[in-house]
Amino acid sequence: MSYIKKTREHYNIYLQKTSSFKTISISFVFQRLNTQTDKLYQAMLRKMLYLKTAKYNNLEELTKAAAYIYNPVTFFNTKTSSKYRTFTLAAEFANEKYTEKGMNKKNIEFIMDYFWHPYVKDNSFDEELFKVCQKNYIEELKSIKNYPESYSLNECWRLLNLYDFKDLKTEKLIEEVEKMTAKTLYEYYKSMFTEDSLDIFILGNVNEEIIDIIDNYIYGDFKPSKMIKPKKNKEVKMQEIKEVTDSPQSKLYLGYKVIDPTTYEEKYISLMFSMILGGGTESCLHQEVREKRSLCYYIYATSYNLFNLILITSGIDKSNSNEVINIIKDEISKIQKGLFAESRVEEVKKLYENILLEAKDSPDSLINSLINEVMRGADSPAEKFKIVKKITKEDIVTFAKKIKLDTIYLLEGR
Amino acid sequence: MIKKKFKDLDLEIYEHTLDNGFKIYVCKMDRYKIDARITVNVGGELEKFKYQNKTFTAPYGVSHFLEHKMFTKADSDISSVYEKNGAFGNAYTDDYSTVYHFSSPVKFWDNLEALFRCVNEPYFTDENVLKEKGIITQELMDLLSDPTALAYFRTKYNAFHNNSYKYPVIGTKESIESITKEDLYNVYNAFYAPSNMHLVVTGNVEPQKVIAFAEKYYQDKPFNKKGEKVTELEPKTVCQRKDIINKNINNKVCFINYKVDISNFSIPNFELQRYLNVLLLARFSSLSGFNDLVMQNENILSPISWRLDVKGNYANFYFQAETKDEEIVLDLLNERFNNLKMEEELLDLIKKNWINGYILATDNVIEASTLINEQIIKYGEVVYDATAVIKNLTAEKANEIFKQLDFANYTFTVVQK
Repeated sequence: MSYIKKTREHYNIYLQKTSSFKTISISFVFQRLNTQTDKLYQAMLRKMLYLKTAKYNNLEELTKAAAYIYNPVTFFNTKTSSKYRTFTLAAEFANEKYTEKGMNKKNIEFIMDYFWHPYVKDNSFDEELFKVCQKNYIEELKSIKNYPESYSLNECWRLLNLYDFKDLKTEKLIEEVEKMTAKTLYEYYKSMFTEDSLDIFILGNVNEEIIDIIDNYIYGDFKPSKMIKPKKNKEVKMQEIKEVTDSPQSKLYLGYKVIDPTTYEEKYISLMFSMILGGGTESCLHQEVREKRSLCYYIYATSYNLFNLILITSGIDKSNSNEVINIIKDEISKIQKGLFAESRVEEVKKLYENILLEAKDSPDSLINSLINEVMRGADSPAEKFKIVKKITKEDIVTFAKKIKLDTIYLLEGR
Repeated sequence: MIKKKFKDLDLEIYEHTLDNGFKIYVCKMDRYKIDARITVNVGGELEKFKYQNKTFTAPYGVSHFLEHKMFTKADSDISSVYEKNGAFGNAYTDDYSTVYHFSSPVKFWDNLEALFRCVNEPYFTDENVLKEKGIITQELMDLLSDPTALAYFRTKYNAFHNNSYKYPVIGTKESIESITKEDLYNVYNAFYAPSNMHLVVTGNVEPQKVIAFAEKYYQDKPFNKKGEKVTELEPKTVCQRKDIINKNINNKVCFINYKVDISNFSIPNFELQRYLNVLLLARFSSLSGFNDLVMQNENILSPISWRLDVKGNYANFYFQAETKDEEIVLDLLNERFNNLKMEEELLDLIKKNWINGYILATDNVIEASTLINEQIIKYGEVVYDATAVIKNLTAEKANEIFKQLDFANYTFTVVQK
């Protein structure tokens, strides 16, 4: 599906026209260099901007205003690579063809109010609201320990050391949040207009007038965005870390880093490899660990291609941890030696093609695909179809030999 | 085959019932993905049942166990068939039903055959039942690691006296261990009868062909008459007001259920449930200022989330939160249940949102399929006039209903250090 690109002095707008959906989707993508505290400031911003704007005094007023215009769905999300961080304001609302004339403009104005017209007084966000959000965020951080699945994933991610800076432990994160003030958060917000890049993506059955509405709202001296590239891993740590919890189940993670992959491997083979290893019911790990030995309910291998990481995750009984670790290592070794059926490669290629086909049904998938093309150098869906057809078993084996075990993390249950 | 239309929505459904009682609903939608799901009307809530003049006692969690084992066949595994066909296939069990489903943009007929085999061809052996116990026990341990799930299970347990609804759908460690292949066959024979199941297909597919496929599949196959659940009268009270579970966690997790008798209402179930949801939205959503209030309270450490689950004569209003003091959460909820008064303006906003939700659901295969299936499970039929019912809700009627609701019966569980 082709798109229109409009270049402005400080930002770009991409419009993908399609009559396939009843909705209009818009994403405002801000990008900056990733630092230790960005995630904390952005998390606080997400909380603050949702609760009060210059026009709406509290969440009740905001929710009611949204309800009057048929409830546009708005959310902030963040994505990171080792070097860059994107902060996205995404929105979806019913096209006025299905509601009332004039609603498209009203929805866009409402959405833009969130980011471009927050409540500000004396060069600061609302002090009282800031304190409430700060308290809530600190409690959220504290409560991560309540949930072994989230806690163990966070810990494993931190131990894998995936960023260009040292990731902080929860206690340190809380200290950083405690240091923030309504003024420093506002300073951070203002810096986004001078230090970040901005790219805007629109998808739906609309004409170019929608761009004029958005142009009228936007101000800021944004920098040009940079292409986000995967992390180049040079070495592995080979660390084994164990922590104890009083939960009845242990959470096991094995993090493998990919050393010197080609761009083709980063874009395609990493995913295919993870699907063969642990991506479904026919995968090696599901068959060996769950079906043959009944050692778990779930076991997955996931490819994080922006970090050149393959992460294996399972929930097991603590008495079986060594057995499961050995099976995982054996299964990877078998793939490295080519000891798997060629038909599995064809099956995962078919699965991938189906995912591409199904993406055409979803505005969310389509707009994300466009963002990935523009900001991360992903191929277009049509190119992906062509390339996937050519993937061979040898490609998988070659890639498998490039993965090295970096971290084993076990949150051991009782 | 009858063609029916959702009032005010761009959605048509073709309905047909086979001679053996199997119901088929096909919703045509111009998308790549096709979703198909067969629902069996039996779920976690099952203890005693009658079948062919005999009474059986089912171990807790047997419907969920059965769901796992229905994928195993003598010659293959249905999950493998889906995966080899490039489809996503799975199943889930809730308190009332077991749903087997797949979605894929290709090989629809091969996958549909796999779905029919999945629910109609049991193959249980001592070995394959034993093997599944380890897997399901780990599924249970995963759930019990989560303090919110722990609190929910205990709250449900303390709310009901007689009914197997009080137990987790997955069962308990002991009940999972006790399940035999005979238990599975007993439940299968009693409840996996065509007249106790229905099929929903959503996507770009010819309804007549789906019906022909099902007719051919069931042709010459004997079919069971369905069994009957034995249920006991459930008292209005809860079993236990308060319960505490000790676990090494940072913040207290609190779960509350208000068990409200709704047996006196004579209005249609769909309409009644809309009014009960109106109450929740009007008093406990952002539209009512409730979330602003919660946020300002320094003893409440998370948003308070809620949901409604109607079980027979009782509407269960569930709430959950992290807190420093559960009594403060309770006081706040009890205060919000007092002086319930619905204003027309707020009701109009709620109605607008619901109708918009229906419009958007008709844009997406999975959402439309879920909407149709949930209506059949909850109300026994597709509610074609759902938007008209919503448009006709009034503040006056809401207030009449609210007056008759009694929120005095509640139970709460706290997970704490």
